[in-house]
Amino acid sequence: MKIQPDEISAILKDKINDFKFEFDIAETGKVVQIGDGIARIYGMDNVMAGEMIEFPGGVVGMALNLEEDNVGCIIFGETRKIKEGDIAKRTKKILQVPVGEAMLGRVVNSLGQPIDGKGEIKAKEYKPVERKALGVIQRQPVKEPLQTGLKAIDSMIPIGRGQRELIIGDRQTGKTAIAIDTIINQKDTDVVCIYVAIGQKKSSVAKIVKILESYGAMDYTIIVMASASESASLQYLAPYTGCTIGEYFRDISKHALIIYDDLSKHAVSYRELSLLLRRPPGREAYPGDVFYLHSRLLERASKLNEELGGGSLTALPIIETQADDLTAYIPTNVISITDGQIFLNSRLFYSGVRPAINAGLSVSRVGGSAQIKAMRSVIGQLRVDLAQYAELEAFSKFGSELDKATQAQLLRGERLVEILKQGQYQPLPVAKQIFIIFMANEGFLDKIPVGEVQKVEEELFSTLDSEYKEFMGTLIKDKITDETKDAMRKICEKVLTKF
Amino acid sequence: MRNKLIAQRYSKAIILNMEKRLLDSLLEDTNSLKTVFSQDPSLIKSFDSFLFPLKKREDLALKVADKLNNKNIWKNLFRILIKKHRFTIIPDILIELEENILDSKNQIKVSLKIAHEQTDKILNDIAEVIKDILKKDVILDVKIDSSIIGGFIAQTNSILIDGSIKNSLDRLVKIKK
Repeated sequence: MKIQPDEISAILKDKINDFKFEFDIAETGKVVQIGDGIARIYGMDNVMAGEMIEFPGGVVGMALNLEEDNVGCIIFGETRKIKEGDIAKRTKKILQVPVGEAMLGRVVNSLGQPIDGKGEIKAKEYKPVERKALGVIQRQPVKEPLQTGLKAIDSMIPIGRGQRELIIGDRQTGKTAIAIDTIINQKDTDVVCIYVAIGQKKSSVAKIVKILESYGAMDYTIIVMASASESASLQYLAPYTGCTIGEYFRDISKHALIIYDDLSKHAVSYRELSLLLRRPPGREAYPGDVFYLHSRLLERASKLNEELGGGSLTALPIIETQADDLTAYIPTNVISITDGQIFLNSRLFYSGVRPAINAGLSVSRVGGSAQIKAMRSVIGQLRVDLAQYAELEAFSKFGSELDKATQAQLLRGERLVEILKQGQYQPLPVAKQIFIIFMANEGFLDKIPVGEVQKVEEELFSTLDSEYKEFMGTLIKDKITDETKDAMRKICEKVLTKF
Repeated sequence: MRNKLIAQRYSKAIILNMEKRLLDSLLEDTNSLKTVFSQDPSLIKSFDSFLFPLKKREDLALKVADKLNNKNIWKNLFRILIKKHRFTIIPDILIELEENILDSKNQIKVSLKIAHEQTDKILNDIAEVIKDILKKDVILDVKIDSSIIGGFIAQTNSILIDGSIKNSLDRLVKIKK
């Protein structure tokens, strides 16, 4: 093939004729004040609330306060790179973060950028961090269970897919442990997990990543981290970023679980930002819209209707209380937003009841309808029995003589508490949970000394694993019939012969 | 830079109290004052200095105001600024005033950066392009900056029009990344 010089010059001429002189037009403003992660910008008359602002040196920020003569902006990055008089540019875009399957197994910051040293995330889609929660029409009631693998929760405070269940308690009562166990229990299910660490120590998050990796849970988990060393603005943004990532999976008909650890620190970071932006302080110096801060976040957790694919986003926010005070500002706010709470008690924790769930104060408002039928048919009055036991236990300490019925209640209560104890990172399949609760409720453990109950449980599980695998498979499929109950009783008796 | 916000309020107050027909003369006064204060910045310091008695500073300022078209406006402004010990923000007030007056006449001052000196025809063409974008008559303040390689960068208070070769190359690098 011959190359014709005329043809080439004609192509070049065409290209030159078609050349369009393009230029960038950006609305700009001048930085008039910078510091503490906040910038005030003069100009930018048309900026939108929540819009991304570009600063020199590639630093981005978000417009939060639109005032008469300036724009208050939070900075997501090093403020040292910005100085007074610098030009800030409007991007005309609401802050967006990458979403998609490529995020799985990764640890990202509040902007969705990888911080795990595993290289770039090749995300195909970006979604805005602030999105309006879905309306009533797009939703359906919670109906599928989300198993945590914890006996105490799956039996008494069941969580459904699309529910918002608060985990609340003092420091060091095992709040994060419940969240991590729940993530580990989602292995081999279709649930994608997102763990949002807000204001935590980097070492704690590193430990969590290591644990999840060792249990093979990182394959379906994404961690969004805004550590204590990060600016308040990044800590404020982190839960919204996590939620946007979770919504992606919900919207493609998958199921996602998001854990916000914890929203108390999130509220504190928002308080810091609001005070720096000179918004008027209210109760406990929190700004007036601190309720909306959490309500708009938690409202985004939902179960979609079948036309939209039936995906779900379940939220497990965590709140840290001070001296078991549930009546503080932020705890009451979040309690009223969520569909129930798991209250962890430090007294129970130190007396060896772990998970230290206070059955009386914990509740799941919508999860009951999502609980599997088999579990529902065996739990009976478990919650009430436990609550009554807790009350009677206090009386029994007076040493007064008790009638037989009370003694029986105490006896049963002690054993129920014992069987609901569970080691960390040891989530249990539902069938096994059903069996051990059935065993206690039917009174098989009443004659066993409390100290031996754990051994009986271990023996039961090993017997079930070795001899009744098929039976266990059928157990969770439907309601437990009388015949099944008879079969279960026989197994219990068989196990007890060894004690 | 925070003075800018305060200056904007003073400027707004002056414009609101002026009749439209007097805006041209006010602009003339503003430009004369800008020239004076830029030629001798120590003058501003003297007006604000406690080394001189307040009365003397006021008298001096009034003498300056007497030479301007809109004496009363300037006299009041100078008096307030001296009393409030805020005379140092006068350059910012003058800049804001100039912008506001031009804005009311549908004009805008544009700082234009070009890589090399250009003929008047090219500058007029650029002005036309900017006018089309901003929908305002343009007053160019041309500066030479070879670092932009070619093209131009036009900057107003709130709009940046970047048609420089440097920006195109930066964009290319971003796309390649």
